[in-house]
Amino acid sequence: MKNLKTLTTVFVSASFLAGSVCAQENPKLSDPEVAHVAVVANQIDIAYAAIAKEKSKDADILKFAETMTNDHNAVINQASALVKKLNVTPKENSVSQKLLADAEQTKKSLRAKSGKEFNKAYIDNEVAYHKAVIGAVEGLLIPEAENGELKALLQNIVPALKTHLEHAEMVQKMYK
Amino acid sequence: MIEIGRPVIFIILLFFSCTPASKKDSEAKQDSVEDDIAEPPRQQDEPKTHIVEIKQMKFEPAEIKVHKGDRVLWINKDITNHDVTELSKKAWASSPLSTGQSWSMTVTQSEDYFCNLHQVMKGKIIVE
Repeated sequence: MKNLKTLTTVFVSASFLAGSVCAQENPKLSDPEVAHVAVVANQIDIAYAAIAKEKSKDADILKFAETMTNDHNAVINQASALVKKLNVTPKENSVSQKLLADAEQTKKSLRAKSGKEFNKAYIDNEVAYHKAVIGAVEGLLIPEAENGELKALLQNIVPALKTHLEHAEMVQKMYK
Repeated sequence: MIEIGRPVIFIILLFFSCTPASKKDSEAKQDSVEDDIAEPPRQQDEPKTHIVEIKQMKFEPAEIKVHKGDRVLWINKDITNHDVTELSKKAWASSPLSTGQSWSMTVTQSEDYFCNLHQVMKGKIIVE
């Protein structure tokens, strides 16, 4: 039941973002806001990985969590270098606030679990979260980014996100 | 007294400049891209070096055909770390390669490999 709640929370984020893209009232994001959403989305997955490292003893889960930590940190470093170069300060906005609020609920739900139940909840959430983030990057952030280098950075991280999703789905099969 | 003309000196210098530094071909090595790319001119029957780039979460080309004794050089041009690991038993593996790092090995048989950090990334070496 709690798993369902976790997934629902993530899918609400996804549908919020996807819905925002499709609806007439798209959130208009400036480049500093796009950069903030991108950084926050990566930080959230690093936070999930930190919980996994704390709570899981499963080798596959720990390895996946370590890869998420390293890869998302690499993306944040690239984004930080770019905003510094462009002299842009990432700006908080409704999309990044929504992502952070949803992540708090998910983290609370993950922390309440242990053992196999935790492993399953973590990897299920990784699958759902990466789907949501891919949707947000492709459907919202890339179209909204005006600066060519920022747009290119976002396009450049999509293959990594899709590989993470595929990897998460592979690990997920072990817990069915 | 034998006089050595300029063309002879030039040929001698050219010979020494083209002599490769001694390297143990049986050992895989990790090095900077610049060091590995600076290959000496190759004669027809010498082993070739085949380059596989790692970018956008893929090995490119994902499948290569080589001859026994050829060297394969992987260069990480991606934003994240990757490694190169034998698929079935992890019989051989590079250490994690950060952006710009490369690793090479001499091929003695056909191999399937993957990135152990991103296990869905796969490649194949076919010895012809």
